Amino acid sequence: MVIYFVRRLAILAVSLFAASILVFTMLALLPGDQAQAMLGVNATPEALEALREQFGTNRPFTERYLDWAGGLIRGDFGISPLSGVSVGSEIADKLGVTVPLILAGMTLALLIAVPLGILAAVKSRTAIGTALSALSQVGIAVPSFWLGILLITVFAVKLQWLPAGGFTGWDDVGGAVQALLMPALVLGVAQGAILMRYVRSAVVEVMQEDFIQTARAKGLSRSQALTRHALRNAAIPVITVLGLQLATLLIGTVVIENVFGLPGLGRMLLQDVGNRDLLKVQGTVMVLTAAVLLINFVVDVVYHAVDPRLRSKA
Amino acid sequence: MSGVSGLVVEDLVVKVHDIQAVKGVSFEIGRGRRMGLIGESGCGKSLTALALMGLLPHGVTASGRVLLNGRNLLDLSDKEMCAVRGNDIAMVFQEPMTALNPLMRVGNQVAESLRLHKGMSRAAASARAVELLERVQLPEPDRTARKYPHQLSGGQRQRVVLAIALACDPAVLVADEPTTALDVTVQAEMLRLMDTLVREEGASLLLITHDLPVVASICEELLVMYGGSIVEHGDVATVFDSPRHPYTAGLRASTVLESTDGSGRLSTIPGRVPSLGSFPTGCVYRNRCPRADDVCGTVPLLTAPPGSNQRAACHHPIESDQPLGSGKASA
Ligand SMILES: Nc1ncnc2c1ncn2[C@@H]1O[C@H](COP(=O)(O)OP(=O)(O)OP(=O)(O)O)[C@@H](O)[C@H]1O
Ligand code: SF4
Ligand SMILES: [Mg+2]
Repeated sequence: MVIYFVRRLAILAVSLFAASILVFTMLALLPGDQAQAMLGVNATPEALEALREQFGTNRPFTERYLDWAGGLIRGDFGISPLSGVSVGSEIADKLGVTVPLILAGMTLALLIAVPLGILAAVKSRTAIGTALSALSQVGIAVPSFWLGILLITVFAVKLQWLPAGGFTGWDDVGGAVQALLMPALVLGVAQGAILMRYVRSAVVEVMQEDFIQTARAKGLSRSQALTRHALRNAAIPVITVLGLQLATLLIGTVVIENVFGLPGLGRMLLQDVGNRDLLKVQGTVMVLTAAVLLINFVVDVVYHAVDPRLRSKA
Repeated sequence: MSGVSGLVVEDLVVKVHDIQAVKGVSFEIGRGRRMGLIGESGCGKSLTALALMGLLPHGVTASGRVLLNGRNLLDLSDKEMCAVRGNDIAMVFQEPMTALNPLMRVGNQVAESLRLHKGMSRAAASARAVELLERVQLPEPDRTARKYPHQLSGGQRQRVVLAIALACDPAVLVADEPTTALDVTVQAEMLRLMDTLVREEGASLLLITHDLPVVASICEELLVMYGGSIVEHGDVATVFDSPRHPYTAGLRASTVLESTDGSGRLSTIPGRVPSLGSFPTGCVYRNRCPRADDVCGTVPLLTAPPGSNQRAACHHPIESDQPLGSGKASA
């Protein structure tokens, strides 16, 4: 297990390195650079050259990459030539909104999906099971922005319990929590409904496995067979889906961020792409890629902890 | 005929939705006796076994009587049945590769049964589990107990399944094709082991297979099943040597040819087993039987000739002075 962990950690490091090259190259290959973006199509070659000199973007490719990547290792993402802000602290700021939102939303999603998904599986041949499946379908079908607007109308406009939107930072913890409450609820419902389907089908499938029959033949009741044998096995496919959800949510929360006026990562990325703030886009994409790699790393390690079949192959 | 009664099955009917897949089967396995149940694929052997265990799949129901220790198991609630399963009646399944929980150490899977029925502490159950693994002749039982199923071979896994089944000294062991999925060499060992342990425990065995020689090597009595009905029943040696039912004769001819001929061509009974619900009326074997005539349009009773206990459900049974299979069954 320890050997696997160390090896997997090494793979993570190599992947991060490869990802940094990829991200840097891709953005460097895009037509038009920062200078071109700022001065427009009518700029004179002299003006462009001067600006490139100033940004250092006329240096050789490798030199620029090493400069940027070296900065990343020190946690320095550079200063955006366009807006003059520190890219690193901007990203950190937005992560301070997006990450708590995702964590709260996915915790809620798990709290919804696991018990209801199991119940839907166990009762799959009854009216309760059918009703729960229908409920999850509705949860998946309802657009997030619509649910968000509905919540705002009820809790912010009518009842005035919660702010309608915006985010004033973590200095005011109470205010921050209040601001994230409804967005997290919307996220939790939407993702929980999806996850519930996977929990349900995983449990239904495992309950049909031969080893469940063996467990029943031993004298375990259906619910004992479920809790002692089925759930752990059913967790394996669910972990995969959970990892995928987390990975896509980092920018996938952009709709919710827009509805609730939250300054999150997805929203910033969209704006930066629009503004052609290339260094910020580059930094943000790198952070997103790193986060996905990190999530996959955690998922793999959890797999190994759960499934002995993987352990002996290592 | 069979000493003190162990398991008595009376008029067992198993319905898949509304179709009878097992059509009123009755038999009795005396305490410590070994009964074979053979028949081609789809004739209702597994459904019979699962009905005894109270583990029929959804949409499949059983009626009739399954008497064990004076109780009709079919009358018990699932909760009551949980106390019986694994304790009084246990089962070994066909597929050792999938019969064990892949995420649980095999020792714990054996111990679970002991904790459940015998109320043993974790430590006592684990120690007993190792003893059981030793009884089923697994090498290094204490190390094996800590292994996961994927670290064992198919034969070893089936021994673990057997250890689980025998953990609480059940009165009845049902084995549904326990060796079909194993290598030929391992098959014989497994059968011998099962035979030994069942004898030592004095348990009754219902051994399901479609392999006649396997039954002949272990069992005392034989049930031949076709189309959800028992078509012949008697002492293994008698039924094997001089079958009275044309179906048994056909089965026997195919196995004898298979083992002696060696020319490759597998002799099977002509025709196919009909699918559920499409068996002919009257005698279930009528559409494949070389002896069938108009009389066979009525259901034959399972009867023995005077002075014999070899029962067959046939209007024109093969008499023992006739040549085997009367030359028609293996045509
Ligand atoms: N869950 C089920 N739903 C519908 N039909 C079933 C079900 N289980 C069994 N059957 C049908 O009932 C009949 C008897 O099946 P059973 O499994 O008892 O046969 P078997 O004698 O054990 O055959 P095999 O040698 O292939 O194991 C078959 O026609 C089968 O298709
Ligand atoms: S009753 Fe008739 S059809 Fe059935 S086995 Fe006997 S001879 Fe054949
Ligand atoms: Mg079967």
